[in-house]
Amino acid sequence: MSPRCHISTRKGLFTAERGPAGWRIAATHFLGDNCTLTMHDPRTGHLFTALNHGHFGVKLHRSTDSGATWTEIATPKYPEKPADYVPKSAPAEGRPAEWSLKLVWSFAPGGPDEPGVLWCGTLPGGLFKSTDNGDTWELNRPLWDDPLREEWSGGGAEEPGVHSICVDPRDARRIIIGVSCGGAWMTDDGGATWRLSGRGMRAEYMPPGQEFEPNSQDPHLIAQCPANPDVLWVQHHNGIFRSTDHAASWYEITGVLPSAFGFPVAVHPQDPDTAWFVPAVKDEKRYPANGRVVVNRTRDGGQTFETLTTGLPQEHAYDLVFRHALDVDEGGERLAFGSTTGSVWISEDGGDSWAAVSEHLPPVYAVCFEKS
Amino acid sequence: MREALDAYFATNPRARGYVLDDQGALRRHMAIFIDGRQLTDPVHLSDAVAAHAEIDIIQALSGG
Repeated sequence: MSPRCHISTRKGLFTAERGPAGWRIAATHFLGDNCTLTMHDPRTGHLFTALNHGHFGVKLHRSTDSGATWTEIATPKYPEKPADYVPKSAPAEGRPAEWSLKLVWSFAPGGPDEPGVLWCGTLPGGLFKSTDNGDTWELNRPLWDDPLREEWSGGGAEEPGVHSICVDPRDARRIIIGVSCGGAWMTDDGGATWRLSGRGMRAEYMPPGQEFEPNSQDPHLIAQCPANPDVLWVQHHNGIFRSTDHAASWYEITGVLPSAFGFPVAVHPQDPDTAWFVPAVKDEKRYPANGRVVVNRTRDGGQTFETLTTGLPQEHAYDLVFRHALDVDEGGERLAFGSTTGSVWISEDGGDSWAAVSEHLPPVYAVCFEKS
Repeated sequence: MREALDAYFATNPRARGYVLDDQGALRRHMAIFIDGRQLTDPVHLSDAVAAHAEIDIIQALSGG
């Protein structure tokens, strides 16, 4: 089981470690800086973290010694926009995306047979690839140049963004990404060609007749089961959706209490029928239902859900959990999640019970176990 | 102004991404003053700079 969990927060990166007496914050990095996302690459053990400086923009740092030292590496940079550029398609909100990095929103390592390959999803919608462990990055032009990309719109942010990158463990050329708002996109050839794959997702915020338009969908996060990559789970703006055919189609899971709204989803690494969610009151309110922090778990593919509460605050708790702030380790028993209120809880029994690592951290954006 | 910045970035390439965005415009929360007068063209950086002008590049007041 993973002994270490990295917690990205508004005021730095915190590393929790499992000691004899339980979990504790063992190290701090970039204290005071806005740390929005961290990835551990199991192939190399490298850590990558994104800082979003208010004045200086987004910067990436890499550690090759488990966080003892960090080196600033290249930042994904959008190419120069041609002066005579004419949008190929009308932007959904009437305003074309700027060609300038706003946020690093997702990281993923390439396949085991692709040493050095990393993927990085960003706002305003660009997907970047590195082939040298982050020393350099290149925008994926086939996706960026797709006319449908220009129809994407912002979800929670002003600009659209790529928040999920699922690299198929059977074949690393097969990648599924999630876009808010632009649905799910997939490639079978390592990014040379892309196709939209949001059939079955439903968007209540669209006018009548357009609810099922794939390119307008707002999946908050897409999670792929490593042991059965044909199964994917989506926490969507309008509920929970699942695919069992490698994103060819999606179906909605209804009747989820206390709410089917939320941001994160985690799927069990071996069992495609087991997934965890952190529900919140939809949609304009966004706080835990009844002021109770709960985790929803299904172990039968979404037919039923258990609402797990042991160790979690059950009155006047207003912890919202962002999309990258829930993670499960490679064994499927250890889970961690962190909240906007600065709380982090870890479970070692698949969510049956939880213990607080801290309730006083800065607002948490993301948690990430070190996996082997 | 663009030429003056380019000359400086030639000696310190990493500073470019801290001051300018991907399209070469001044970052929203950065400010440039030329002899005490604020830059008027943060997109194209076309402001004139005299031979011995003093240029201040500072973090703009933002976010309270």
